Amino acid sequence: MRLLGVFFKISFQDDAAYRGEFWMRLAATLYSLAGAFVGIWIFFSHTDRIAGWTVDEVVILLGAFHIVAGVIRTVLGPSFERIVEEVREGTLDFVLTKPASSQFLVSFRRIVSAAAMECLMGAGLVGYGISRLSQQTGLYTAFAFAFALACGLAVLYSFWLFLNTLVFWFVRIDNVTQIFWALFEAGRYPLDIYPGWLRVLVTYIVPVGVVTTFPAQGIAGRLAPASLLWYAAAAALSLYISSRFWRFGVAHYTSASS
Amino acid sequence: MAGMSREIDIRVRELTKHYKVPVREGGFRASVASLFRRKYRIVEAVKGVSFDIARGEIVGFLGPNGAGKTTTLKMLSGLLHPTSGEAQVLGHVPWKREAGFLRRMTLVMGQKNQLVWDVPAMDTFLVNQAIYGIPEREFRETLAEFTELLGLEGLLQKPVRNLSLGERMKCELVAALLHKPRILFLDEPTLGLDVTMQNRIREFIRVYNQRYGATVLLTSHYMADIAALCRRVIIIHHGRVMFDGELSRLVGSIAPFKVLHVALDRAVSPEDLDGMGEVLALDEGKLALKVPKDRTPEVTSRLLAELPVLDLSVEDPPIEDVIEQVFEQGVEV
Repeated sequence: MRLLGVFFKISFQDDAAYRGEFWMRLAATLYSLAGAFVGIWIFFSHTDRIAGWTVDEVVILLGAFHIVAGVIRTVLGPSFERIVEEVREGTLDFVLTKPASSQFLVSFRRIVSAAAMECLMGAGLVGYGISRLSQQTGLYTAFAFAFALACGLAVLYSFWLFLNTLVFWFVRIDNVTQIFWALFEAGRYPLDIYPGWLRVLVTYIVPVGVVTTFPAQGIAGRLAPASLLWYAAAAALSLYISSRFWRFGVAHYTSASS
Repeated sequence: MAGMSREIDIRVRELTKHYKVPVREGGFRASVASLFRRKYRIVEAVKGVSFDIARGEIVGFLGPNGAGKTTTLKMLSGLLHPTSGEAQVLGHVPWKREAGFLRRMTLVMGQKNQLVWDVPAMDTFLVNQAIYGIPEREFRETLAEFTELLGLEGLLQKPVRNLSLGERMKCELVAALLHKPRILFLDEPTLGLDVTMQNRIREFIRVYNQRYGATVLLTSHYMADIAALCRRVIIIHHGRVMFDGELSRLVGSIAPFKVLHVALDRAVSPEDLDGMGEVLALDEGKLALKVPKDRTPEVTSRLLAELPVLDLSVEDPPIEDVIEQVFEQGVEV
């Protein structure tokens, strides 16, 4: 954990040197947010509910989406950025000869603090949605939201790690993160709006949908404690599997010749 | 030092590594076919290599490209699992990658960088400090010591991309040695550097070895590195050990000849040198002769008697030539 602190400190110092990037990111996030709002406004100008979701609930979901996207852009995106190059050129050797978990190092080594802005904005949206919610937000619903969000992040992280581990076999997987982001866009809207087959796809196969839908359901008081437990189990299992897969991948790594 | 019953830091027994590599045939049809069914070929990179290295030794690990040097180093640093055979480094099996092992060794590769390109070298040092859990005070002291030894003043805060190749290599060494490892695997650490920079790096390795009693296994294409640092060399070719012993013995047994350098008062013709030995160079009164070792006294006295000699020196042949001869003859010594 001390290591995480050092990663953060160093990244923060580097980012401070590039203030322009901070403002660019802020603008980009605001822009994507504005687009999403227009979408929501168009939908709800015709109806009160979409697939059982009120406008406030959808705003909370959007907030959750941006919190998660922010975490990925802050930590996972930058940390995994170099892995393709490292496997191709063999510089992953330096990660593997360190006395620390290689999975931890590749996952958290680079933090772009400017991107954390998106998390804050997401949190703001969630707060705004809650303030407009008709029913009272109790301790349980707040907990359900946070818990489901944490599980969602764990599931998403596992999926991300799994995709990136494929680098050991295919070497050129630069497109994997593109595919990830394209699929992740599905998390912007409630799962219930998707037709059956697509819902199955984004729930079980590529688990991006659940990451935002479940927390939003949690805060709306629509998530039973039993579901939370199931979700926690699924998160733990996916972490375990992806971690094993990573280790399997590392064992497969032969490192580029001199 | 050698020959005493010293502790063995690196013990290698019958280490073997086969790679399975896909065979790519040229042409479109073959490419399409390879998408479905790949053909593989087994490459035997290392075939039953054995040796021991004692604590504090600097051993030169030599061989032509593709001889198996890097593969061996990678197995010893825990990056590759061998196909068969055993190795122990500081009592650990390297490829188990136990923290206790990784903490006490380092791997430096002249052609690969661990420093992050866009940020100052200092950032990488700080990350390594955290990874190895180096206490702040020790970190500062070590950094100050290395900075002075390598002459790195003022370079640590510059982005790595703004450093010259030599400066970068020096920073790489610092990053790799901050945790003061006991075992150093150095793969071509002076590659591509100019002579001054090579000397500096060489001197640093020598000082580090003496100060911390570190054990060093070094590969280099520059024989000057080997000659300056290594008393003992291991020569590997086609994945097998061809020679393991003192550098001086290698020169003596493989190359049983000397080179005579002679300065002459006037030009001489090649006929004057008939039967003396192989003429390596004859130019403007300067002569180099390759002479079998046992004939050296005889040839020397003939030269002195028959030619207007101003100066004469007897030297061992250049180490490059000797090594090359080992590869060509393929003899096991």
